[in-house]
Parts: sequence; structure tokens; C-alpha cells
Amino acid sequence: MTLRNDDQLLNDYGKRGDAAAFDILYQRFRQPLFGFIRQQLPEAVANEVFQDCWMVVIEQASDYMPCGSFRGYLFTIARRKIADYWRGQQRQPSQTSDDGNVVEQFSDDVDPQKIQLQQATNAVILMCVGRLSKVQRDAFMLKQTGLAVEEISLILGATFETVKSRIRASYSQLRRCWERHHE
Amino acid sequence: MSNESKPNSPSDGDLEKAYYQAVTELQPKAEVDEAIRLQAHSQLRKGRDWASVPMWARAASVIGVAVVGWWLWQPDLIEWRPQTDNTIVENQVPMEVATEDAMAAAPTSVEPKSPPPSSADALESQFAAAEVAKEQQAAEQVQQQAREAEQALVARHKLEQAQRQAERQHSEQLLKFSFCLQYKLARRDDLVISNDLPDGTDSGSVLSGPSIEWQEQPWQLVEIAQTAYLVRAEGDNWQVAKVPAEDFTVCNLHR
Repeated sequence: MTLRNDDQLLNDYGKRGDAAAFDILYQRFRQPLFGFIRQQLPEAVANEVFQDCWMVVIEQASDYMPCGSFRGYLFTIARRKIADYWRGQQRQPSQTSDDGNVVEQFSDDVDPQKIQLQQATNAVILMCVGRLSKVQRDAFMLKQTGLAVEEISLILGATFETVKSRIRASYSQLRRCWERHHE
Repeated sequence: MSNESKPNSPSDGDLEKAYYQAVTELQPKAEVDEAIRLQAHSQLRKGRDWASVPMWARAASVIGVAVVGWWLWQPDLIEWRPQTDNTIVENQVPMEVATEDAMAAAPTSVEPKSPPPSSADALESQFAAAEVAKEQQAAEQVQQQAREAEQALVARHKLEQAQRQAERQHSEQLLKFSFCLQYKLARRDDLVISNDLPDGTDSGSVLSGPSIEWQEQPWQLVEIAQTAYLVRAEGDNWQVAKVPAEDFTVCNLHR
């Protein structure tokens, strides 16, 4: 039996009423999507936004027409929902500069002191990602969800080369941050 | 992605691995999982009923419900219906009383033409029977009115449901349309930007169109005479870019 791709699964769910197809699709994207959202929003809101994203997928499944990959579609919805949240809060989580300077943390409940005390590798890397500039962070996080650079450039509305250089810069920043916290 | 030359510095792979492990720890709540799964499965049942039927059938259904709703809400028609029913019953009565057997079979449905003169009890029971018949008729009338009111309520509820469904569908289509357009425009970095709003633009409502992200800026989509433009306010000036017709046409299929 061949593995169904994401579009096939959504199609089977939306047009053929195959509930199991949705379950597979959900399992495939559950963790990456939540991780993506959770890094940008407090936990309670992250759960809400995560649910909202899937509601959109469910509602639109019967009329879904692929325009790019399902992965790109899903993470575009998530980005919009996150942007809507911050717009509603009348504040931005961080600067949008591309200069790579340290910017404000975007996850409220990550405490650097606590991180140092615990020496928790997980928390350090998340904090380092949180300290990337917004554009670098977007590019890095989307890359980690499995999207190709070309698709990231479509989602972000930036050129292929720009996205590539942002990803490269994000690795350098992360490396520096990582070393600083492991000295 | 190349690694830095500094010794002991983590490689890209190390960073990715650490990041992956950290993110894996972030899990949605179990109840959220369950709510999504339930919604997905229940939507499937609903989808079979409504979303999967063709557009023309949905439109016909909405119109049908609207007509029934309108008909049930006409006060004249509501009054007219029980009268018609009574007429039919009355027309049937002479047939029922045509024989003695029929009278025996339905003693309360008709009053005898002349009561037996010698029996006061019989007279009393006839009055009582007439009273009961009247009460029954009144009760039936009340029930009939309640049924009609209920039907009207159901029809109105269905009409509202259909309207809500249509609105939701519209907003979903709009989302798909703007998603498509954003995808198409992301491939274009050569759109000519001017500072003049196109002729026929209402500058008061220009920023109320759907929002599209292009070149990492939020733009509003404005449609004038079957041509689409991206518009945004930049200080005191407008920035306007014409959307290529081919992109607009393709994405319009989603609407």
C-alpha cells in the first residue's frame, strides 16, 4: 500500500468522507504545527490558535484546491492567525529588522536566568531562536517545519535568495547564542 | 548552510537536532486534540448532508426554505388553512350520519336532530357531548396553531442557518482567493508601483478590501472594473500596484 501524500489525504477526507485520512494528516502535522505556533504565542493562546488553524482546514477541506503544498497552506494559515493575534494585542512580538541584533523575546514565559540555572538545552535553543530577528526567525522556523526554501519564499513573499541568506544568517546567530550559553 | 570554522562550535546539524528535540517537547493539550478530532468527524457527517451537494441544489434548497418560511408567516394563509380543513370535515358529516349504524359508531361527532322528549338525562348527556366536542375542537385549533408556529420557527431557523452557511462559505472562499493571489504575487517582484489611485477608486473605502501580503508588506486588494490593484498607504502617499490579469483570473476560480 502506497503512502498517501498530504494533498491526497485532505482530498480523501474532504471529498470522499474518509475520516481516517484526516487522522493521518493530523498526526503528520500536529506536532510541527503546534511547535511552530507555541514558540510565538503563550501556551493558552497557542492551543486556541492551533485549534483555529485546524478548524479552517476542516471547514475548507471539501472545496480544497491545491495551490502550492498542503504544508505551505497550513503554515500560511498559522502565520495569519498568529499575526491576527498580535494585531489584536496592539503589539508586535519583536522587531522586523534584518540586522541580526538581539531583539525582544517573543515568548513571554522563557526566562534566561531560569535557563542558565537549569542548563536546559531545549530552553537554550528555543531562547536563541526567540532572539533571532523576526525575519530570520520566520525563515528558520519555516525551514525546520520541512518546507523547501522556494516555498518559504512564497509564504513570506520574499525572493529565494533573500530567504536563503536569512536562513544562513539565522544559523550563524544561533551558533553564537549557543556558544555564549555553553561557555 | 555551512558551519563556522571555530573549533567546538555546533554544526548546523547539531543546532537543528537540538531545536528539533526542544520543539518536540511542545505538545498541544489532549482536550484540544480531542476537540479537533471530534470536529473533523462531525464535519464529515454535516458535509455529507450539505457541503457535498452541488451549488445549484444548495441554492434551490435556500429558495425553497425561504418560500415555505414566507408562506407560513402570512397571517391570512394561517387563518385560511383551518377553515378549509373544517369545511372538508363538515362536508363529510352528512355521509357519516346517513345511516343509524354510522350514528352509533360516532356518537359525539354529530348532534341528533331531535332529542327523545321523555329523557332529561339523555338531553343532559347530549349537551355534555356537544360541550366536549366544542372543547376538542378548540383544543385541536390550539394544537394546530402551535404546530404552525413551530413549523414557522423551524423554517426561520433553517433559513438563518442557510444564510450563515452562505456567509461562512463566502469568507472561506475569500481566504482561499487571497491565499492563491499571495502565492502568485510572491513570484513577482517586478510590479510597477505608482502613487495614484486608479480612476473610480473610493479613497474612503480603499483600505477595507481583503488583505494581501506582498514584498513583506500588507496591502489591500482593490477591484475596479474587473482589474485588481494592491494598495497601501505610505505616509501621506498611496502606493498602488496593478495585479497581473492572469494571476487575478486564475485566483478568481477560487471565488
